[in-house]
Amino acid sequence: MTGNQTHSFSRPGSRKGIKRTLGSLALTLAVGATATSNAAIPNFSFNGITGRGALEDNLNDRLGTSSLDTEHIINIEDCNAYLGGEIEVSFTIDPLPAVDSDYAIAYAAPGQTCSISSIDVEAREDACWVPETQKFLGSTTIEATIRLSDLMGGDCDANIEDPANIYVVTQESGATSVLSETIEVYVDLKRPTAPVIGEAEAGDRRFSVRWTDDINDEDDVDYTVYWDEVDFTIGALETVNKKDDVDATSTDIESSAIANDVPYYVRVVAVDDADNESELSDVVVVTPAETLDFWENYANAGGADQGDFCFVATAAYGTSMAAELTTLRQFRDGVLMQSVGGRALVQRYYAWGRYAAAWIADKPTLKAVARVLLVPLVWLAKATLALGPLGALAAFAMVCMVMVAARRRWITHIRGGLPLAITTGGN
Amino acid sequence: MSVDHTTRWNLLTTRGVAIASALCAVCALSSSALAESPRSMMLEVHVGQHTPAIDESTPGTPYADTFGNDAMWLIGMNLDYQVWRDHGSLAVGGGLGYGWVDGFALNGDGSQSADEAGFNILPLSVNVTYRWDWAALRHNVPLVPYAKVGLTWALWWATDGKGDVAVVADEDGNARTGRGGTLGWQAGVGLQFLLDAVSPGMAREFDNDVGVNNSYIFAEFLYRGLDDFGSDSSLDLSAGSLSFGLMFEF
Repeated sequence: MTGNQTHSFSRPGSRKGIKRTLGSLALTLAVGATATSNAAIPNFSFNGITGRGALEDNLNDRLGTSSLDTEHIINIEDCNAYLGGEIEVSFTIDPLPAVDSDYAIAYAAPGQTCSISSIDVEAREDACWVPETQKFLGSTTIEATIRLSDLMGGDCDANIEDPANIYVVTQESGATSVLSETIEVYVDLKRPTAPVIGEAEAGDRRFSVRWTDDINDEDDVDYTVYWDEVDFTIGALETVNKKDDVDATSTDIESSAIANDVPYYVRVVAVDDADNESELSDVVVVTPAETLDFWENYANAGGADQGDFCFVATAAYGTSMAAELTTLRQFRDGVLMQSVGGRALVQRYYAWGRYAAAWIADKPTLKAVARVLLVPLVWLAKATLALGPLGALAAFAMVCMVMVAARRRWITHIRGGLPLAITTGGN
Repeated sequence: MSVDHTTRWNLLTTRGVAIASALCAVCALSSSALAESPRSMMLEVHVGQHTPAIDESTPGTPYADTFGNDAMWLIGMNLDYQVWRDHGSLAVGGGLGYGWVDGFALNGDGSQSADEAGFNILPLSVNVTYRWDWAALRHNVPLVPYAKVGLTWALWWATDGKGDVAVVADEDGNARTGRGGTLGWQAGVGLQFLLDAVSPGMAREFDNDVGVNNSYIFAEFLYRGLDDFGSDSSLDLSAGSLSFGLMFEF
């Protein structure tokens, strides 16, 4: 990104971000004598942020370390991780000004500013630091090392929510005014307020939970619901089930991890745009239990429709073919569904078998015929399950050969019994 | 006859003449809408309610247990082609609908739970429809009675508290998935009101702009015999239902 850029701490598309941007604008205007009266530095671009020492490769993406990033955020978790660490901030001015120039790099604590009306930026205790001052601008890349404890204000429990600015100032020889750029790092060390959890309703291997939040601005926060089989504290959330990014004050929790007749402890936290989590809400306990939907009520009431368009099940329903049905289902799942061709075959069967199933459903004679016709298929399924596909194929081939041999003998026998002599060729 | 009665009689007579005049005016105006483009197709959209006879063909009352007295809402559309026109019209066509009802699953003690449960149908049909529109088109009587008969196949599925297709295990432990299809027939009668009679000018513009000759609103009673033609082992979705809709003839 080059030329008179604005590095905002706001999130694109976020209403909170918009409000923050407006707040930032107001702040910038208020300190206009230092921040906005200077013209922008031509050909300036932000080059990225790298961690130093223990923070090398350990900076959170929220900080916006890439040269393409335009927002830079530090939250409470980051603050605790970054305390005592340093970052290197890099900028590019390319091409360099035609006239010899000096530059300075300074940064201010959250809510503080540096006076950048001259190239001789003045440091102020606990407010403004100047790591690079009045240096000759002889390279297109300029860098500065910044102590994060200073940039973040030094106290991660400060409950502040302010931008911390990084300034780049240049001045051409002989010029009376300076040029400047400002990089804003949004330091959000303020937790949202915990929501007030309300009622949790149990369902069948699921539950729903509601809460209220009269303190946080609904546009500023999302919510995360945590639940576990034992109660938990905020220090143990890594191992607790959760549903995050809930943009409402109620949600349904549906997970394969939820079982019926097990009590679950449920708590909710609010999460702001900087990903700061509130304290945990109070706990509610909910115990999912089996419920009976319409289809279960229908089945329990003796409804005969088997559903699922199954021709075989329709043919076999009410007969002694239940074992064969199980065999065919095992054949479907264990053999056919293991190959592309088999899956296609099953798909075709379910696509078209429904018509046949509906047609024979109330015709006992046809159902009996269907059962007889299904017997070879059941044998094939049993053989495949017992011998494997190749074994079943070999067995099938042997049966075919035996049948062909028997058929030849049978035809020869019939021929021998006929009174007519069969001749071939000749006149 | 007292003065009051005389006054009332005169009032009624005046109103009657006014209504008759208005009807004549409507008929006269609608007659001007008869100079129109050829027509052969009919498109209708309709909405109604449908209470399937599941509980009548099942030992228990699973439908009422889950959905109470709620009927299914059923919306749909039909497209027909007029194969014969003389004293009325005979059309063949097909239709697609969607019906749904939502209720709550039951707890083990039979009380209503917080889990929502649903049942949906998607009826597909082919119809033959006879419409007696001779009087409407020749004599400006804006009413068209009609009758239809056809075959229908309804796909259906039940949903559980998670919104997934419901599954229940049978006595052998095998899954019975709550979806299927039921074949059947349908027959019904209805009455259409020719909207062109209300606004002939607009009707003419509608014809000139998009080729729609006539527009109708209608009420229809349709009986669907959806039980795989009497099968005892099929979900019985049969029901008679009253629906209302809008029909365009083009």
